[in-house]
Amino acid sequence: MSDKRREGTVERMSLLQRLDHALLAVCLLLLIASGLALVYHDQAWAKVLIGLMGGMKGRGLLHRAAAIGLVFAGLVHFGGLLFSRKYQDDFRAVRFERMDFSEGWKGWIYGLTGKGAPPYYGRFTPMQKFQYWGIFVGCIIMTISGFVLWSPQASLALFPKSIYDLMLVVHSEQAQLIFVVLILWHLYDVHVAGGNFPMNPAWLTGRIKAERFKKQHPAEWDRMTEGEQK
Amino acid sequence: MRPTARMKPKSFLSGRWMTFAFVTLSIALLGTVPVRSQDDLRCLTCHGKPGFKKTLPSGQVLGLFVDPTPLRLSVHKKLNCVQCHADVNEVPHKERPQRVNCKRCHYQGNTMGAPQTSKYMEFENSVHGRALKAGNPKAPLCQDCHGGHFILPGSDPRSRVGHDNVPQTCGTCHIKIYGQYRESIHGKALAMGNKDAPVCTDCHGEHTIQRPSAPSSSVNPANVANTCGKCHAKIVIMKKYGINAEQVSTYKNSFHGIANEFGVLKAANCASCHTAHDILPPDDPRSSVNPKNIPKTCGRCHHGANANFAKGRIHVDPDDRSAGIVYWVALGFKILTLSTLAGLFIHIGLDLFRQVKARKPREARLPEAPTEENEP
Repeated sequence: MSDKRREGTVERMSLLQRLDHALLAVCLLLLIASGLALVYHDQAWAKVLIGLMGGMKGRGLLHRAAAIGLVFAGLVHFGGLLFSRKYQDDFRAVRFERMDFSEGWKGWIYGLTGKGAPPYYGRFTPMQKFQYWGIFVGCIIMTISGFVLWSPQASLALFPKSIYDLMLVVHSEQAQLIFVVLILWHLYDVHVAGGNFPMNPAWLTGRIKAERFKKQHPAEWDRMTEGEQK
Repeated sequence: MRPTARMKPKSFLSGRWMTFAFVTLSIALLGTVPVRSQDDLRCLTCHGKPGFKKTLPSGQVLGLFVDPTPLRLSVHKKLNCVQCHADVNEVPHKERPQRVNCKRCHYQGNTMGAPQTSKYMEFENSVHGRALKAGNPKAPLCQDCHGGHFILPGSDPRSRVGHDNVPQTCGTCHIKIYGQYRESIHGKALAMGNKDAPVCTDCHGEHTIQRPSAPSSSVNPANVANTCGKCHAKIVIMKKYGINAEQVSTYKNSFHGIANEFGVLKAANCASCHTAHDILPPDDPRSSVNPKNIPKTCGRCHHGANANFAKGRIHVDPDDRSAGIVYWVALGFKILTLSTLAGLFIHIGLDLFRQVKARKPREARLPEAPTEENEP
């Protein structure tokens, strides 16, 4: 890691993380496209999308296939947490700490007024942590409710219809929340926000420039360089 | 003088006697007589006799007596027999006269004074018209629904095609369905004089009627929801009977409704669950949507459906409080999503503001640079 840093870049994502992220991204985009088309079925764009997917049958197949992909991406994630050092380090770093609230507040004030010190963020900014946990919880909810909806026959053999209805509303409403957090917020952050335009290359190369890293994650930078000095 | 001639009613020269004499004489001499006159009397010479009938080779007795009164009270009161029975041109008829063809007058652009409609053409393209063209002897002609001599406008309550009489008229042939309809909530309401109650034609159409498998049919699986929705989506009508007018929209937003919208016609429509003709309210134990019968009804498509299918509402509207926990969960999510969206807009606004602000000093310095150089 230190060798590479001297070349002016810092590792953000391991190869496995990037592959997992790519699978998650593709599956989620397909799931959102094929799912929201159903929720907004009376809109013209939804009719076009469903047409492109080969009608309702194709849409259903695509949604279920992408769901299996998403579950697999989730399993890889949990596997990483069990066996990969990088996953474990990142997981420790992504937990919310008291500092996130104070630094997050400072970040808001700094952003709003330009006064005070820039926020002293660690490996993950509070916004990134929020997005991670949002997607973490969101995917678990979507997976559970999605499997209940998968086959009405099988589900209603076990649960009353009222549970099925509840899962349906949870599934469609949670999908819209995920759309806002992930498609809008996350994509804005990694492509536009904080000088990332046209994009933060970490998801492809796994690395970002040390200069940018130092600016966006000063606490983590200090921690890393401190360790080196010792 | 003509007036004086008419004033002698019993004269042997008067029309009635002359006709009788002419007909009798012609039959005696020639065997037949040409029918040219517009006068009905010649027809009524025979057909006006009560009990006039003919025994067909099959043994069936055909009553041929015609009471002229109903025709004189009908919309065709000014017409004569042969204006409709146009193939009758000699007495006695050599061949059995054909059934009347209404198309002679009833077409768009006619000059005979018949209404200017294309209903006859619509009929020809309907399931009945096509069956007729295909030679189906049971296919109905105009007169089978509208009646023969006593045709009245549909607005007349005595008309065979008047709203209240339609089921009975269609039931002449569709006997079994008529029986089911009479027992249904719609049939019972009609029997109680309810003017909102749908009759056959309200769902199936009149002259345009098609078999349900035809895509243009109002009762084709693709069109059923809109057809039922003509009444069931109207709050004005539904609130009179305490029925939720959202049932149509909740269906359209359900998996069944969306699949149906996108052409999956095996997906359930209104009639798949509620049936078409013997629709009964859910509290009726015979109803297909009575909770006790729901497993069987759902089981027609969802094989092995059990009592769980009945545990919960079928038409769930997440935007309505009556949906219970579903309503509150949906509301909670909506608040969460909207506040996240609001947070996102603030975030984007702040970020862009900061980025623009960070860039400004640099841009401001640029034009200053040459002036500084020029100064010394």
